[in-house]
Amino acid sequence: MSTSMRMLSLFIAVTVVFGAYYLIANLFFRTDAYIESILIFAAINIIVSLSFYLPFSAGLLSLAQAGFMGVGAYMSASITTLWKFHFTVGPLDLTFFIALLAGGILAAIVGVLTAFPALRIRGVYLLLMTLAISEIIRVFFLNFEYTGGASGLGGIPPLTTIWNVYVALVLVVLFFVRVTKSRMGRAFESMKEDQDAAEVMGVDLTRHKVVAFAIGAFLAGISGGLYAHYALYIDSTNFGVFRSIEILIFTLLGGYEIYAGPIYGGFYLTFLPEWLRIIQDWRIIIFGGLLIVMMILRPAGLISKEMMSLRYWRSTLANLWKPRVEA
Amino acid sequence: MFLQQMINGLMLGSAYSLIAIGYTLIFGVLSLLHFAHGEVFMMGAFFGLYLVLLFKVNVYVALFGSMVITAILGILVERVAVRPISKEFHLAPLLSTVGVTIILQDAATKIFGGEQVGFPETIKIVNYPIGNVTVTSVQMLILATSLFLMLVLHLFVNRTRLGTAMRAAAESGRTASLLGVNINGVVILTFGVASALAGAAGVLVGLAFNAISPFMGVEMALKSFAIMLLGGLGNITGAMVGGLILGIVEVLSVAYLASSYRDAFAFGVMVMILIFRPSGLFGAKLHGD
Amino acid sequence: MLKVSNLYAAYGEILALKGVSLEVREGETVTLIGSNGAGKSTLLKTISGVMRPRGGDIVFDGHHLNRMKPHEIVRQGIVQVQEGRAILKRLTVLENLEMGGYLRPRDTEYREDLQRIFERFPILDQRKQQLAGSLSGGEQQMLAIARGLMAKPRLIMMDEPSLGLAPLIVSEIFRIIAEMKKEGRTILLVEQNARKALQVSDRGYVIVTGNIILEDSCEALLGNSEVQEAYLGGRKA
Repeated sequence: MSTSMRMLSLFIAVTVVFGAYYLIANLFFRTDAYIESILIFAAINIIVSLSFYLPFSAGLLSLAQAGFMGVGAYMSASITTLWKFHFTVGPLDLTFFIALLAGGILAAIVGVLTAFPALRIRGVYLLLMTLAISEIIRVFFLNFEYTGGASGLGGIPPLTTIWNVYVALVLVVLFFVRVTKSRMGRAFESMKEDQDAAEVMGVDLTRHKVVAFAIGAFLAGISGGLYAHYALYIDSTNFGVFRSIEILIFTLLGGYEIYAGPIYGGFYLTFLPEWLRIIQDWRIIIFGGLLIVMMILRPAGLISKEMMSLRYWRSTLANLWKPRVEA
Repeated sequence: MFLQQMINGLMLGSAYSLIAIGYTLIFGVLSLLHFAHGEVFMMGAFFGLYLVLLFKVNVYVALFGSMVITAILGILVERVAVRPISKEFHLAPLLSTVGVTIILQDAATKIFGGEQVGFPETIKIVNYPIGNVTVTSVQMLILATSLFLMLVLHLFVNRTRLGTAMRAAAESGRTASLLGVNINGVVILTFGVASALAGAAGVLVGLAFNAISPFMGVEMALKSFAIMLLGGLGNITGAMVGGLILGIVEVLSVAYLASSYRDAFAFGVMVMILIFRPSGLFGAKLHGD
Repeated sequence: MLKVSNLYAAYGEILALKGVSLEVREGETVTLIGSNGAGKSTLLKTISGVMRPRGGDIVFDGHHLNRMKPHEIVRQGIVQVQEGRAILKRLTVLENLEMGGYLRPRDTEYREDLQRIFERFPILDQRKQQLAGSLSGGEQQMLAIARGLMAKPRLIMMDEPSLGLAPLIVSEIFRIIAEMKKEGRTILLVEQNARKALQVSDRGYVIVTGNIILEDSCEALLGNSEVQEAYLGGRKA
């Protein structure tokens, strides 16, 4: 292992430990409103990054996640805000749960509608098509007076808490752990590797593509619902191209080989601009520069597949201070 | 009325064409969606504006000066954010041009301010009534300049040795290099030419709408993607015609349909094209894919 | 004129050339034979600069080519006619030929060369305004060779010029190569069709899994029983 790889591994290990400590400390002990809000946005960003990652792991690049997120946000906010819907079972208030679910499902339906025209195209064409669909969704909400049109939708009840957002995140991550090991996960992997070969091997491309888009859109919809009930005000600009690009950045900088990549990317890239606040004026430019430098130095993202084993970390940490021996 | 709208559309469309041609050139040679190209266009508008404000030059000098500066900017972008990046993962160069977008937009906000600004009255606006249609001198300038630039580009690409080398490199970089073409040189040339066209479009759009802002690039970039698809990926003539079509369609849709959906039009066209005719109206000039 | 010594090249971790040495003298036609994947094309790609050598030396007329880029090597006078006819399909036939002479000044000699090409390949003259992609396979190969000649190369390297062509056209291609040899051109030829290639050449090399195992005159190679067994279909020539 090269020195730079060792340093990178050390950096990742330190940041993960630090982040976990930070999260746990704030969940159970401290409740600083500012840090809590960043933690909540981090979780939402992770969920939406994972929503991008799922179709991406099947070789389908979707820049429509921002649009799907908007669908989920507007749907769930309509339920809780415009329709004032309430649903309780005994002592349990399931209103938010149902609103989120409805947002996710509507987004999934839009996702399926996107998947069909996307079935035949790949590469740049798919990227542009999903981008276009996302923009169409945005312009739709911009003009849809029922949900506020250009002036946006406000007065959304504050139902998102740090607890339910992290419960949602844990559920999503557990889902990814399962999917990766499942038949469907393997089918996705073979599709990413080589679509034609996957088809020859008996993978039903149509079904898997539609499913990948649907689940991805569903997750994006959920994240949109969580976002809407934390931001308390949404308008169409929240779900524009830059949101999609941001999601792409979270995933690709974190690492696109394994779902841990978008988790890492989503979490730390939400914090990064906050940390960079010290250099207030330059943070956006530094962020842009960082993006370029990362693409030059490590285009596959920070987290790689090999990092997912304990053995990797044991050998990395054990060899950390040994002199370089390789040729 | 209809004819007036057509002229307005043609004017808007010719500016679209200039930007879309740049995208197409770069996509042709590098298979890269140069995301920051819209930002180069935006910078072009500001360069032109400040040449007028600071040096009191006339609009032609501003146009030319802005083209030169944006060409340099484009070449710089290539050198810093495109060339060092390995082409193994196709999203890496795209993402690094997104980084450039972020930097340029923020830098423009810092340098020029986030407000919308416009050109001072540098050219006297004269109305030329032709029948029941009025053409302003600004419109004439825009139309004439963009058509002239497109003609020059067309001749360059199709009639010169360097232009042929550019087309050869767009088809196969390896084959072109084995014939003696310096690929790096062609890439630099392509970025320079494409960026100069975007700079010209920036000045022209600035003149036409008097609304220059650091955020004008993104929308342009997205619409240019649509135009590029409309004309067929990598097809230069397609991009010219596609830009004119979109300009006319947009203006007509504002005049006769709901104006608020104008911006959705480009994307609707994009989706339709992708579903029914992925190679564009005039055929994509792509290898593989 | 061209001297390759102890050349190494690799695809990732896999060595494709393991210390190849080879020489082409001025005016000579040299054939490199070997089976699929033996390293023939890799050698040409490394000489023309498409691949970077991992070790060894390539000297052409006293210039080291090791670190040069493809277009710089073309400038030295080496032209490669690529495998699979890599013509530029979206350019016209004439534009392809012009691209062949990309580095040459457009002088009288250039125009005469173009004229001579059209005399030699009348079909290209008839089709000069057509897109090259509309030509048949054999015509495309002729165009590829003609384009190589337009560069006025001092060494022309041909990678499998007869690959995938009908027998009649294969003979035509070899007739052209023989003609080029007669004109005194220096040619390095890589061929699957070993018999025909050796018949038009002066000397030959046999390459097996990245190593040159044999070097001899063509007559000797054609008579060599091992070579006959492995590359000439086992029958005596």
